Amino acid sequence: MKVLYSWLKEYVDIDIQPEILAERLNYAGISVESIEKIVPSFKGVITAKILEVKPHPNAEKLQIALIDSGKGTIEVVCGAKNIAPGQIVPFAPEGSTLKNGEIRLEARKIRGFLSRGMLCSEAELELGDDESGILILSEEISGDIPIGVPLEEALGIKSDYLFEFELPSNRPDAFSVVGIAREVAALFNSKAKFPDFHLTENGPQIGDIVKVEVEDENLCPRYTAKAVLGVINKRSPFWMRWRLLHSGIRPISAIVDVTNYVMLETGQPLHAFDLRFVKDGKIIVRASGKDEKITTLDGVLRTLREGMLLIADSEKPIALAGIMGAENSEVKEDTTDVIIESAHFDSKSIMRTSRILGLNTEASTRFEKKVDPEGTVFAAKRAAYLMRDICGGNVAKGEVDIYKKKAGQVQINVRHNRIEKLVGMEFSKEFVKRTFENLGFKVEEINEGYRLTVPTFRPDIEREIDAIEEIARIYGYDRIESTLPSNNHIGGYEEDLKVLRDIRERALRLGFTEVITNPLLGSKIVEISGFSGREEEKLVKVVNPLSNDLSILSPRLALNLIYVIRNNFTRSVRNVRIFELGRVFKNSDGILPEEKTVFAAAVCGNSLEKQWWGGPLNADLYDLKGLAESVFGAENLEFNPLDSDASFDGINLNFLEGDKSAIITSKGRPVGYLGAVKSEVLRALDIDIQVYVMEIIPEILKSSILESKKYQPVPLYPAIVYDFSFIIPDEILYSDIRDAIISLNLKYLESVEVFDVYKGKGIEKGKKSMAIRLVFRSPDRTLEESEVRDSFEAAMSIVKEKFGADIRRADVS
Amino acid sequence: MSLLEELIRSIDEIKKAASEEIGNVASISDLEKLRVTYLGRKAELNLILRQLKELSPEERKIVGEKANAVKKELEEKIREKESQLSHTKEKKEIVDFSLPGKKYYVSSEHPIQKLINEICEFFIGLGYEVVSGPEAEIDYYNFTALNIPPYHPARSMHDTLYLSESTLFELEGTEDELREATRKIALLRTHTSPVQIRTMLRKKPPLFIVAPGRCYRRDVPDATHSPVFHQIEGLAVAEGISFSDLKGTLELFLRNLFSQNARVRFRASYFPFTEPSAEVDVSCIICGGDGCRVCKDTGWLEVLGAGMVHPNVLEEVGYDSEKYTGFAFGMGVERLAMLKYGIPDIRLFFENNLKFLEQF
Ligand SMILES: [Zn+2]
Repeated sequence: MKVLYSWLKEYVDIDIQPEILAERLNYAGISVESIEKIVPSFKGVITAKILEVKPHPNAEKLQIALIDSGKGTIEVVCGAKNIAPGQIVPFAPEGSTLKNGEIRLEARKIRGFLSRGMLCSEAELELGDDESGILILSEEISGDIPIGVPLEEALGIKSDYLFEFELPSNRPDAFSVVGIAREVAALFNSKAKFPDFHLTENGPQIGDIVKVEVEDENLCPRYTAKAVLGVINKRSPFWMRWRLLHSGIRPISAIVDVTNYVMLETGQPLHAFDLRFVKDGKIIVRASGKDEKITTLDGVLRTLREGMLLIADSEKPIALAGIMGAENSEVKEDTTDVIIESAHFDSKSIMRTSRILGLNTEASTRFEKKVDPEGTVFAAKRAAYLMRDICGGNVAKGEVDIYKKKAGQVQINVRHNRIEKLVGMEFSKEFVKRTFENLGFKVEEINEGYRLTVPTFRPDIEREIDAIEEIARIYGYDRIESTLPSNNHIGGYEEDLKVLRDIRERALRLGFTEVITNPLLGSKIVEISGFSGREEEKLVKVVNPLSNDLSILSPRLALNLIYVIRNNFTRSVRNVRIFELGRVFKNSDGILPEEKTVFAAAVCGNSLEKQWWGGPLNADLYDLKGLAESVFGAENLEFNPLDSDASFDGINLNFLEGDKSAIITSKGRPVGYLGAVKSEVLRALDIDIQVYVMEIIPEILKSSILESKKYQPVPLYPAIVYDFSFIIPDEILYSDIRDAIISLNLKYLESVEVFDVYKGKGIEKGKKSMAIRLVFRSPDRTLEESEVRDSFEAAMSIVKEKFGADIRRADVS
Repeated sequence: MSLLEELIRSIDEIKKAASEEIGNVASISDLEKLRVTYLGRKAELNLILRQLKELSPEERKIVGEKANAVKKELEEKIREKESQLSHTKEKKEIVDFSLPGKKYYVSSEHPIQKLINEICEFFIGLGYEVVSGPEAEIDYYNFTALNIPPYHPARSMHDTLYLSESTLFELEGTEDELREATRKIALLRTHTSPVQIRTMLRKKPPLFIVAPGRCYRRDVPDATHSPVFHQIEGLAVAEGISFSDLKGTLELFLRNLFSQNARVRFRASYFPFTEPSAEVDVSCIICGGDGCRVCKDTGWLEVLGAGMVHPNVLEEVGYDSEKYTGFAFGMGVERLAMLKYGIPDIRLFFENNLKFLEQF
């Protein structure tokens, strides 16, 4: 909300630098977003009186005005038609400037006639957008206007500031100039005052003009109406337009402007109906029927749902209660009789209608926050007063005021020691009492503290704690001292997070870069990854997504990583080695989807680039297998080739190449998968090299990480190491060889390890060469080679006999 | 030829070949290889010595002495050559230190996780436990239990992404019925505050926790908005906790995070789940408080929301709000990271460009 400082000052006696005021308000939670100094864009423009208007000798469309500028008479050429002798107008003499110096006035001949300056319109002065004629000051300002004085003085807009407030949503009272004045008063120990006026009511009795029927007092606890008859609706005066404009509301006509002005002033939204269009002057507040229609002031025809609150006459709806009026009863230029509606509507009902229709207005946002139910009569009177003052006419006597459901009076007890305990410091009783009073509370001192009567404009004060906040806030948080709570807990990570933290550290150590992706995916990736039909039902979708690209919660973190690779590809980064610890989602029978934390990794390109000393090394599946083994321990994992239509955790793996992928299990339980991404999937994403991905659910493996480390004796005696290499058919797996050797139960055998696998040049097609290292060691002495020679021979022969291996080399080292 | 003659000839041949090779060798490393070849465990001379058992004692003596003499001689030659080579070495072997070092696998941390860990570690030091909760959450934990019942105006400040059709604005019913209905609505959590509720429901006070995590809002992505972002939530509930404690804790935290000289200010604010509530600013780390573009000339940067836990929230989880008081705070990690590292656009965090990530 934006408010001019001069307006605010009408309701509270202060004389403070705007910056200082802003700072104090900021501390108190009435956040000042900005302060703008309001400076007119003109310089040297003064008031002048028109003495005579005569035709231009050479131009039909122009006139010559003889004016009194206070220092003598001057003749100026004027194109506007709305000037007449006797008017006071803005006069820009020679040497004055307009539009921040853009225009500099000089005496110049216009169609042969020397004009010493010009008379100005509102638009030329940048005081408004009216460019249809000269700004006639004598019509805008009441009272005598001195001649020859600076225009800004005459208009009362000399040195002002525009405050922009960001107001807390629980403070409906603060969404008004009076409300902010009340805050200022409390902060500076002063009193706020309400607009002061005397309303003359000399029209007919209100009851003879308007009848109101409230059908649902829960949705409309109070409905107040006043009427002003015989008005002339015209432009509102300059001061009102000026204030509205600066508050961000476009002036329309005096009647409409007054309703907006009083809303800004008091916080009470008002609506004006043209009595002509309210059939029989009868207003019915009722809920809408099914499919009832209304064309609102914005020109939109809206079909309503049953139960939305309407203002209607006996025939038709004439307003969407508390949100927007209808076109059919709108105030027009020729309106003469006005009904002013000042009502209190149920905030939930307004919120519901506004949400369903997607229609937010100044009025609806205020009603949603609970407007003061006690403020309706004052606001209606204030509006009637201003309308009569500006537009003439007569105010009907009295008001309709249907107030069946009175707001209860909220009383709360506040304990003085509770304030001190909660805030953490001592306060004087005098300060506490005074602060409550300045904020509009009625205060009665009781034994342990205060009994407060909460003003109806403060619906946010419901219990003791709310009142305590008022004390802390007005005292100023900056003045409260700082302490630390006593806490004898030992901090740390909860178990699951400890596991994730360790996984992360291990992955980083192995040279995988951490990424964090958006779990919201688009339908495209899901489609190309082969989630369709029954699979699609498992996907968790956002019902109100911002766009299709952000509508599905990732079912497979690997997909997110493929996207990361794609992002990097478009920036020519082709070597990627990444991991993420994130969540995946799947529909469940319960209310919430099944949500799991997973560890995913992906590689492509080179894992080590070509450098002067060596490389490159291609990234492949074994980078990922190595990662899994280092993180969770090779002994805890098994890798089993994929079945034809394999799935993991209930969701298919259609985006992987079946023959280059595996399910990872731990003691037979599936814990993850790894594999090569299908080339169709990659092609669809414009990735032209092979990408490998892996995903593991750490939950099942967490014991392997949490397991506390125990010391194992370090080997003391030297080992005897044998290497041998052989050629075997390609289909024989390393694990076949390893298991065969282990099954021999060789004495002193410490480890079996493959250290070379080679296919290609020099090796027959369909075969491969493999090299194995056996390590023998005794824990308590140095072995002689002769002691294990036979074991080594046995290992070689089983490989030879069982797998038809052709032994090429055998060495002891 | 007898074995004796054969062995002696072998020894002579070894001596000849070795002397020649030692004479020709040009580097210390090659010389070292020769030492292994001729004098190592598997060297021929040693193999010869192993065959001695097949000779008569006299012969053994002859061959043994000869082999040992040759061994000594070769050792001497190698030593000589070594000292020779080491004198000329500097000229021949040039180490080019201008060559780049070997780059093995170089990994980077994601700046968001890095910062989350840093912040969590600070609070661990103060005795807080780091906990987590689900990202897909029920409305009740995300809103209702946090003193944001159905039709509360604060619900509109959170542009929520729903997972189940939210019929809240169409439901009729008493307030209690509507509150219950929120247990059946699934959404993506809009803040990490529901972790407060979940933790309080399973633990009794005193309680000191921080909860980092991912959150979601229906925000159009731009330089400062992302539909997904991270928050860290803090909660302390115990007997006698006061607003002063909140101030002290957060001042310490922010000075630790930004700089020892950072100034911290607390402004009154409104959050439904805290009362009194505060917004916390730190003096601008770019301009030091003089005013610049980043702080919009205010000299301050808003970094945290905080307050005393609302008694309604404590009561909702069954805590005695008379006996226990507490404070809570929440911060946006992306915003802190942007300030700390001078990152201009929040979207960079989720693009994961490796050229971006490798800077951290
Ligand atoms: Zn700054």
